[in-house]
Amino acid sequence: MSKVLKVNGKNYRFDGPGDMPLLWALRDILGLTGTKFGCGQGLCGACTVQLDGMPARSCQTYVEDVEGLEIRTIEATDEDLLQVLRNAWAAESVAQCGYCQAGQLMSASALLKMNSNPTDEDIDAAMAGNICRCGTYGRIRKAIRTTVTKMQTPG
Amino acid sequence: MQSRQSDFQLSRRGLIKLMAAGAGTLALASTPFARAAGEGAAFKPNAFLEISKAGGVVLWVKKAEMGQHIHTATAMMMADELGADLETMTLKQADTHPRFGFVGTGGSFAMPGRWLYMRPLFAAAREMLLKAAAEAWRVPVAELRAIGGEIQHAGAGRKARLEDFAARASSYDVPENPSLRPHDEFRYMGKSRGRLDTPEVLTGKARYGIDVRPIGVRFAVMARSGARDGKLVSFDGQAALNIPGVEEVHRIGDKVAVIATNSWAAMRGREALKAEWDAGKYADVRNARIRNQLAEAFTLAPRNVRTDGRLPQGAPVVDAVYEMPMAQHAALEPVNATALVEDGTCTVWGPIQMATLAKNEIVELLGLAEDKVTVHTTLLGGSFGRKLERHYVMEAVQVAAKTSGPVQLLLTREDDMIEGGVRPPSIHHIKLWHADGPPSFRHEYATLSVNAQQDPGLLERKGYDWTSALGAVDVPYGFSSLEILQHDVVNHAVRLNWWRGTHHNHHAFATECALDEYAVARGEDPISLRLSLLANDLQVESYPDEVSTVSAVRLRGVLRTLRQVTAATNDHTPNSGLGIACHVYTDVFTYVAHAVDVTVRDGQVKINKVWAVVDCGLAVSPDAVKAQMEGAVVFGLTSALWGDLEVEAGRIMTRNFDTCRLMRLNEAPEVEVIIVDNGENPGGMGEPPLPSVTPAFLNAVARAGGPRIRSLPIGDQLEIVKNV
Repeated sequence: MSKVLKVNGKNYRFDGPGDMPLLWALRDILGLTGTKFGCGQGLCGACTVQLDGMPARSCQTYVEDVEGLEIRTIEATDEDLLQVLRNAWAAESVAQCGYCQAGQLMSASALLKMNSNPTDEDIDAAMAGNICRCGTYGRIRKAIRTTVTKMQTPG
Repeated sequence: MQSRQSDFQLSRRGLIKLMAAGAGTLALASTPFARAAGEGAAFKPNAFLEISKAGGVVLWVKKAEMGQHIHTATAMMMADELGADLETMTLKQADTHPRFGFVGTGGSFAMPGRWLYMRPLFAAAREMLLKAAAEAWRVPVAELRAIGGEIQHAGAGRKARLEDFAARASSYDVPENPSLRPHDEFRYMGKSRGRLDTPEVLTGKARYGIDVRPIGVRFAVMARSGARDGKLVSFDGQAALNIPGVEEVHRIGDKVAVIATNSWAAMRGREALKAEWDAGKYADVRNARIRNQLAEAFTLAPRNVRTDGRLPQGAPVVDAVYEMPMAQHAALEPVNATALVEDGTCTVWGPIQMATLAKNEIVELLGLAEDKVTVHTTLLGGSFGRKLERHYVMEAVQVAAKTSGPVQLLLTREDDMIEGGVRPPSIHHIKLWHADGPPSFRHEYATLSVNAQQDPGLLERKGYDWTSALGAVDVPYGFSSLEILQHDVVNHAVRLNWWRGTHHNHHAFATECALDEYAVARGEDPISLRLSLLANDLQVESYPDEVSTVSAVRLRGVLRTLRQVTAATNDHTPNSGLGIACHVYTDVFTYVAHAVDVTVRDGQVKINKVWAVVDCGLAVSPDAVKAQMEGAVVFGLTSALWGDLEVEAGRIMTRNFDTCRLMRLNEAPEVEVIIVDNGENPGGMGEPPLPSVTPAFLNAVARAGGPRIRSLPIGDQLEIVKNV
């Protein structure tokens, strides 16, 4: 019952059970530990990944449901938008402990893929599912704003 | 074993002293850590530095990185003192090798400690390298300087890498009284920069405890009673072993460990196995009972922790009771540890604040020699005090000892919140009297003692838990007369642990709210009132046998700055209010003041803006200082709004983020941070930004016409909204 998972453009063979949450498949089977475990209930957003560009809580997503989808995680290196976001995150020095930031970046990048010029309310709605216990929210908002500005500046 | 046993029960302050002493001892050592010879020899003037041609400059950092940017700030400080290049030097986390002394992080003491005890080690190393260069080049040492990874001779236009002089420098004695570098030569300290490992953090490569993957690692969770002290009555692990991926099931005390090829299988195995526990000996404990125990303590004789003069007889202006409940730490990375027990050795990797204590406890647990046990500190995905505890490390070691190969023990979110010690609750009764001159102040409080729970004989030996008095005994104001009275309550039904800010939070909340009530009742401006009470420094014995100074000038400074930055805020529109509060974190020399601007209407509150002013002396890493101030506002508002813990039948019911509500991005207010830099030595920044957030917010709510909230959390009393 081998499956193929396409993660960050690369095909991985997966031999585990189909009802395993994608989170644990990524972390414990494929060795992609950038996606984090926080609550196991879809409450904190630490495990956020993208499925065909849409944000998803990987702790609530079963492997059998993602076959054939483009899975993107924080380890992705082939995406301009994510890199621009990372640069903004670095410029704003967003991370304190950094543990939630993979999920934050995946949610932010999914937002900007769908909406290249979000309002503050759009940002609220897209990011409210991602808890940061260190309280880096102000900087996250700024980093998203600077990314939007950068994406809209020609050249 | 006697001495080790007492190590286990170290108080918070004891730990701070131990950490300081460990570093101090090294500072006094006049012999290089390792003397080497030969052309390629490495220069190891102390335990934390190695310079060689092959390896460049390597710095070992002892403190755990949990979001406070201590690795980066330490590197900035040491690079400056040494003259190294921050961007190319290598940073390593110190393990529990004896050369590093006591490895532990807590009490917000890392920055003040590095400044006092580590900087001189690196100044000494710089002097040795300069001496080596002077000899090699045959020039006076005074003509040389070390900067940016080089030794430069300006006159001759000559320069070379620090490592070029490593071999020669390694033959010298370490100077005992090196000159510290003057501030105007700092290249890194005082300038903002983010974490050195930012690229790793933002690409998922940074390794937290949960990401440790030694070759052959397997994954474990434990079935737990859920009730405090519940005894395992029976269990049958067969159903767990039928789950694909589950490989072993072991009873460990009153828990059952399931080891599997992945965490998910381990969790499914745990669900499948049959286990029964008794209700535990605290089955009748719920919130009301703990609260009653605190309230009843007020009928007993208190410990008088400080008295100045005699209190008046008349009616007080303020006579109010304040309550702070228990709360979860809720660090986003649940506690976990990875352990390998084999061939008479034990190696552990984990997000651990107190690695040396963990090591000592493993030595005891397994009966191994000290040199057979190594504890590696990984990055911590938040802590806020949660990872001071070691129960999860010991569990991982116990599981690993039952099997072969490395095992990662994960506590799921629920496990983490059920098993972790929580913030102790408190009740405060405060009275303020009007007098000729300053008011008189009486603060009587009852709280669960963290230390007495861990060390049952403490109250008999010491008379009281002095850690519960921190933030109360050192109340900075010059009252006409004053009494501080403490009731220590011992309760074993709920595990207690230090929570970011410790009792400073409880006391600042009660004191700063009461003072605001007094200002309102007397029609006085809250900042002017406080300034008028800050004429003189306070000398106070906040720790037994140790006098600390609270600087009135520095606290006045942050209050005056707060007044300036909030001057333009209109405090007079209907339904809006500006609340202020301040606090001194005497332990680590940091002074903070907050102002919160809110609008309150129909049971809803909108936080318009928060101002956060800090005097932490030299801000070694200003960006990190600012980040701590910003984050503490979110942390403090979360605590004020929702920080609570439900206990039912001896079981903690607040065990995931549905019931443990944390502030989210859409609820977080704008925060403006102002750093008052006055050239003082660096203070601590992990905890001090927190205590005055809650009272400033509550004072704002009351001034905006909302309820005067004296019992936390706010909960259903007010809903936080974007627009009112």
